[in-house]
Amino acid sequence: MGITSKKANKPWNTAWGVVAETVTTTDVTFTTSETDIVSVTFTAVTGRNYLVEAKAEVYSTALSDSANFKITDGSNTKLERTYSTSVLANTAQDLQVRLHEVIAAGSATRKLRGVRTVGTGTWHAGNNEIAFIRVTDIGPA
Amino acid sequence: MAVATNLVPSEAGSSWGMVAYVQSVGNISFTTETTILTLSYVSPGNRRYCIRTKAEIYSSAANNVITMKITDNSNTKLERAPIPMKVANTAYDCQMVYYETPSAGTITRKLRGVRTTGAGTCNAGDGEIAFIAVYDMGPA
Repeated sequence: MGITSKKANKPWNTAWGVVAETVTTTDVTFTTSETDIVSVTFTAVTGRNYLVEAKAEVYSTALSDSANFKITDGSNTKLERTYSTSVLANTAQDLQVRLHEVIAAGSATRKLRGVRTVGTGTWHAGNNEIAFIRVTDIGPA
Repeated sequence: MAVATNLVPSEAGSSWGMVAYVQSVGNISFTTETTILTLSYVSPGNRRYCIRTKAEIYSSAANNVITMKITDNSNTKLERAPIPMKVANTAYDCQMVYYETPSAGTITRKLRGVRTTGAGTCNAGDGEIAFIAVYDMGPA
């Protein structure tokens, strides 16, 4: 029996690993309107701990602008956020956000969203490099 | 007995934890692309892996940009993180994460750095822990 054929066996007291992800290499722009950067939908199981991780390269066209980057649910409700300040205009910098949560059973959507909070520049997220949002089962809750 | 044939069904559906780790507590200077750390691990195939890296980085000149990369053994970029160095000679934390499903065999991954903006001398490590860690994340 090959390893792949054993995929359905998931002992409850272990981590089950990656359950869903979206990886893109596109570039999304935004200013003061909160905008989706990347999203993922998966089926959550009751009583499990999940790690939601998102990453993108971001930059603003203007120096010293700031933006909030949020992990939200499918209704755009903020679950976690971080921020980025434009250290150098038009110069990409790495951005990562992580969230640990226990999610009600059923279909769940998680998004990485961005909105400019300070300044006048246009923010870019993605920069045509890898951007992702990934959901990992990290064990029983 | 090889890892792949030592499995029982209950193990194949879960994560197997850390499979490889390397760390250093030193400092490497660079301007052109340079290897900071290297490790290899063995994949039995059909498994998902998470590679995490960390290093403190800084440049001798303000407003430089250092781009750190996770590469394969041929130095082909798999993931990257550009970090602007606003302040000279001041360490910034750089962490990266990369997921992959490699073919069975020995897999080599490197943490590499390159100055992509500016004229300063760049450094990685800063005398603090720098590492590459590889985790088995479960079946592919």
